[in-house]
Amino acid sequence: MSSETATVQQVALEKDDVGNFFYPEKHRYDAGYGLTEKTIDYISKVKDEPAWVNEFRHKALKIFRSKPMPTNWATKDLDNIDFDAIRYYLSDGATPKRSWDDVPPEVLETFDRLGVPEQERAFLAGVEAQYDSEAAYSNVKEALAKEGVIFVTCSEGLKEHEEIFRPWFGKVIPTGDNKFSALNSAVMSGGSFIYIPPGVKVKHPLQAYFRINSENFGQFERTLIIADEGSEVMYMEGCTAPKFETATLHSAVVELVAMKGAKIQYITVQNWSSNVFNLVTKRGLAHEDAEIRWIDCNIGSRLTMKYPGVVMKGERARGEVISIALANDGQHQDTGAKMIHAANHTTSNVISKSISVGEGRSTYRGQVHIPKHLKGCKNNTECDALLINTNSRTDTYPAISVHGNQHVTQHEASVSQVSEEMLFYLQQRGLSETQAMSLAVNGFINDLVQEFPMEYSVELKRLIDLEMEGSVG
Amino acid sequence: MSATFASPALKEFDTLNWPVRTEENWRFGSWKEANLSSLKPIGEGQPAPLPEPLDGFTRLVIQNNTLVSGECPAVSVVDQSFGPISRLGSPKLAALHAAQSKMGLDVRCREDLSLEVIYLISGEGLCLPGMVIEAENGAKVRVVQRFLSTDDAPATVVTATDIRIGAQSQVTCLVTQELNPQSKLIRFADSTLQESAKSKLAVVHTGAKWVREETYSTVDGSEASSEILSVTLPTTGQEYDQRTLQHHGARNTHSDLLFKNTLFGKARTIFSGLIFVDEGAHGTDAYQTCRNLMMTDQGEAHSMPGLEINADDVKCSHGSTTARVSDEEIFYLMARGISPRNARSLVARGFSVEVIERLEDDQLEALALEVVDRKFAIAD
Repeated sequence: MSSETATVQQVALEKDDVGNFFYPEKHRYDAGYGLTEKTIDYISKVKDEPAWVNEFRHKALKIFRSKPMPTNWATKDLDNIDFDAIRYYLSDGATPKRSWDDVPPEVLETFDRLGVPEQERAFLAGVEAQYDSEAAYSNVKEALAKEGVIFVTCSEGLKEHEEIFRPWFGKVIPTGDNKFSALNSAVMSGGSFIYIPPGVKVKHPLQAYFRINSENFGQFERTLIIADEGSEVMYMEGCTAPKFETATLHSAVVELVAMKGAKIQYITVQNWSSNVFNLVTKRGLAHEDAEIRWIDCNIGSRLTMKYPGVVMKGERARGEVISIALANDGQHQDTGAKMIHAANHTTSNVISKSISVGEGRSTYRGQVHIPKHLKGCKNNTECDALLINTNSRTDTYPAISVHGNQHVTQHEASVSQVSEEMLFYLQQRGLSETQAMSLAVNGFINDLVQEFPMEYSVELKRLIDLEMEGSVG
Repeated sequence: MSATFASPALKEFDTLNWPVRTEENWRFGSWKEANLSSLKPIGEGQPAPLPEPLDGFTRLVIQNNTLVSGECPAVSVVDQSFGPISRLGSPKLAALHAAQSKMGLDVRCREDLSLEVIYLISGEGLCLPGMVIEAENGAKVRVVQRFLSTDDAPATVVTATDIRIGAQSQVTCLVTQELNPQSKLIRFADSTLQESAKSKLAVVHTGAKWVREETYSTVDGSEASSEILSVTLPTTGQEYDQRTLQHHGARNTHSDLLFKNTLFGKARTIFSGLIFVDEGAHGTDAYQTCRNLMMTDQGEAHSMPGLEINADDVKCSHGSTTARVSDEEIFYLMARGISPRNARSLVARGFSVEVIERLEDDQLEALALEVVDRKFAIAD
């Protein structure tokens, strides 16, 4: 065996290894297959929820049932989700541990293999680690807790901090926003609640890690982040799941609220295994002078549908979406952005870059809305697509609505491929074709990768190198 | 020929539904306007004074559904539709045309031709003219279609043009629409290009209350090139809804779309365009640009530029902008003694002229500009 093939095999193994392992299931609580009123009551009972939450869930279930699948505009692959073959709640108890020592050994081992405790020691201000339906571990550095920063699971948030939680919960993304936000509202479990008090600037990122360990399972985390006046926070999420034969569903709802002058950065590196349907609703509400940035990277999953949005409600608010998507064989990355301008002098920026490899398909869907009676709104949208192979596919479907003449919007999209000349040039200098291609692809997204924190950008480059293995030649 | 389309189309018309809000092809569109179920066929047309003829063009004049003057050996009049196919959201309306149209022009060119067709629309009701243009044998064909109202009655014109361009042939087509502000126009414009064929299809809309236009250009032959141009100047009470598709089905094909809307008053425009590249259509070179110029604060512009690319080794891009005349431009002209009002008009006119110049035909450019200037004189 030549050394090159050996390396390729090793790399392939390593790539699969990142998240492809699981432990036998040991769940104390299991809501069983399918979704009925009973499932909801079971979840509410296990979580010992107040009556208003249970009511909220029941209402959401009705809405979920009444809404059609959005297949009039989205892919027909959605019809392959069998809602009766999914387990909606699996956990070992609803209270997360504050110390890794108390976490069950196989769960600890899982997160150890994924490097979560190590990263926490190295550079994170707080971590929540979710294992199937509930967080196994949740902790925030003491200094931050003293400043009044709240970083708990969503269930804890709604019970213990109802006065802050409830006024904003379900306000940015109403239950009926779409079929999957309704589904999430009916069976939500896990996710984070974060509150940053006025003026507090959290220097280090907070992190959540979502892990699916069980087959035929649906993860429905719910996150609400409130940054009070003048505060700043960076939140990062990562996720993995083992490769099962059957489809797994992940349907999260993430709501961000940035009060006057606050800044929220939300970073996602999505690396689900290729059997996961990842159908996520993410939206932020930016008040006066506030800024919300979504930095989003989608590498994994079978189908991702995710259009992070910002509603700019206060004057001079700013919204930004920076998105990288990589679609490999059998994958469809349907991502985009939604920018709703609802006040004067609000500005938004969308930069999206996608790469389609093999038979992968990447889609950009965007919406920019500037309603009547506003002035001084600006939007800039750029989407670039790179096609690697003959069968690769890319689509772009933006929609820009402007009322009135006091605004400026511009949209630009391009599709290209890595030029023969570039590859030839690099090969001349001794790189293999694969290395040359990897380099070209990394160059294509380089300016966006730099927006990620250091630790993530290194990881990201490595993941992209792995994805590019075997894509040429 | 009369039995070919009419009877199956009538059946199809009965089974299809009028457009509804949830259809993606009607996003932002006024789908209710497309429901023509209450309309009766239009009556006999009225004669009216005609515009100056174009030098060197053969002129045909059609009053509602009747050819009243002119003749051309390359053109035959047929008594029914050739059956347009709607792929952009209005199959019901296409079936309506196929089932009920009583008049079409069949234009076959094996040599160069310059043809001007004037449609004089009068009275209330539904008018369904159609046209097929076939250019072969390297012919260079120029066609002008002018839609004019001769009274203030609310007419509804559903028209279809099918342009088939054979190898090495060329078609340049200019459609100007100056219907009265009570009328509606629904227009299907299909074109198919074979090897090394060339087309320039331009429209200028200044009239009508509501326009729905579906332009579908199929570039099926290698080295073929399709240009699609549009200038519109809507004002209060007018809505222009344009949907386009540039379909690339062969290697080394080219297409370029440039749409410019200048919105006055409470005008509303919708642009939805798609560049679709088939698998294997390598070497495609396709562009799409939609630009909206907002002259007032009450206008409303929706743009949906789209791409669907199924082949690598292509160059495709689209761009869309919406803005008003910049203060710098106004200032520059004011510094040269031009009033702010005139400065705005000048810049806006230049904005439209940029599209018209792409026709690269002095006569057609002059005609398009004349229509644009007529609107500027009353809209500003």
